Amino acid sequence: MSAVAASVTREVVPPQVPSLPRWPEAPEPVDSDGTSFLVVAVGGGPAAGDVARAWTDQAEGVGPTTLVVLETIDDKADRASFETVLARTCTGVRVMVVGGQYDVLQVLSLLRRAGALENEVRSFVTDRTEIPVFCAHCQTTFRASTGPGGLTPCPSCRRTLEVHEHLAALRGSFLASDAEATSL
Amino acid sequence: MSATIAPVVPEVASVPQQRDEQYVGHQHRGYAFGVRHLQVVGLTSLTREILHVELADPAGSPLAPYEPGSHLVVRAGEGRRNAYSLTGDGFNPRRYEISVLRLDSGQGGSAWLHDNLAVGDLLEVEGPRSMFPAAHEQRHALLVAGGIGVTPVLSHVRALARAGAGATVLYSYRPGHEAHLQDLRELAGDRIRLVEATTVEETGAALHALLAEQPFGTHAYACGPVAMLDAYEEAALAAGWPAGRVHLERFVAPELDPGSPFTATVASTGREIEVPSGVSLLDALVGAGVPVSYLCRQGVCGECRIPVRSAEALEHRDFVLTAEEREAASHVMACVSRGRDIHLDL
Repeated sequence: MSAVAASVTREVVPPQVPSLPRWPEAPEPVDSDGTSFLVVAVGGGPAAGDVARAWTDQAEGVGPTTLVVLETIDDKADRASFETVLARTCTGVRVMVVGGQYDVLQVLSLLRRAGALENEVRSFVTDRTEIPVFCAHCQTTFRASTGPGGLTPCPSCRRTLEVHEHLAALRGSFLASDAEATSL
Repeated sequence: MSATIAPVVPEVASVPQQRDEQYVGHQHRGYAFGVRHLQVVGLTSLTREILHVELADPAGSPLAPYEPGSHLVVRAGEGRRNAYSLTGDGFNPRRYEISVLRLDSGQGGSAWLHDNLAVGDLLEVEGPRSMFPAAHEQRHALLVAGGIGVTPVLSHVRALARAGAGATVLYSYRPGHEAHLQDLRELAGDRIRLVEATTVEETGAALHALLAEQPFGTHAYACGPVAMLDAYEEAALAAGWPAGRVHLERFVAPELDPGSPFTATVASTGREIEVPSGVSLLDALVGAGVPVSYLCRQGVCGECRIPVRSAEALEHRDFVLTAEEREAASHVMACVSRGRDIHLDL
């Protein structure tokens, strides 16, 4: 063995610690410490509409409330209208997001990037069939009907990806990497 | 300065050399935070009671950078060490600048600095230390200064101006006592808005108005007298701000009642020390010859934090420990906090 190889320390890969979203079983009540409220319903079917209406009714009893209904956060116009409303809100606001898992995670990501604290945001998922997946190779984020541990093709680089038990909260997506990388 | 100030002592002079060995490559010789001597290179009276002090490395090295809102510990006469906020932006400083309010009702440290400092003197310092930093995720800052509390606020405003970031600044002052007002006015512009208030009523109204209109993602910071900080916290709560966005630095703590007598046990020796009413745990320990480091004696700076093994009760009266730390009952701030039958991990 060469002197260089002898000095190389073997890399120890720590065991993976899962980082998965924990959704509430039922919508949490409105935080009445807030002075204004923003309710966002994005996808998620009729159940999401029901939750958004209930939140809006509660919040209007406390302070000024804005309800935003979007089909999907991927739509340019929908996203622009969400960002316009968010830019008008003031600190003191509480934001409630309801919808399908993909859209809720992506909206939460936008909120975190806008500086939201955990206790300023409440979220509820009415449909868990889709998740946002982040391809570690081409860095594309896309919608996939799978879950942690599942396989899905990357629409951009065509690799077959394995979705890991790792949700990056700031990105609002699950990390995925080439499922066949270790096979020769 | 009087001739009683010791010259640079050998161990202080050796600090840069140790640093060179420890941090090869990217840190300069002045990159030090321990106890050392800096030279007074400028003294300016900002008002009748506020002296602005500029300090530099005697060898001409740059100084260690610091987070905005940091303070410098300064030896202010025999046995006194006071903490003063640095007023610069902290980015590659060549000078440390502090503004010292003369408090004749205090324990003499500020008066000593006013009466004794002269350009060219060496002053013993430690730090800078960061106890009032900016939140990294902030999208905007609301900075509130009352009186001499302007010093850390000025540091934050300068750092934000350097970064091209936005801030709203409220400066509450008594006319004739407005240290650094001109500095703030010069920093104000498109992205930095300055609001001035000269009465308690104006300050209260401005706090309510400004806290209600800050963009989402704003963090607020305040430094000033106790009454102003109380008004600030109340206004922030009323405006719906979560505690995680509301930051403050106290330089004067509220008056405390003398408290009940109790016993503290030093775990390593088993020695029991009686702490009478009206005497702090810190004073009782120091009086008994137990070495405890301390600075502010007001429950503000965090220097006298002592680990606790067990206690029948702990009455926390400091502004340092978080709610979780209080719940854990694992530490006590000896200068203000009390309790019953405390076993100290000393």
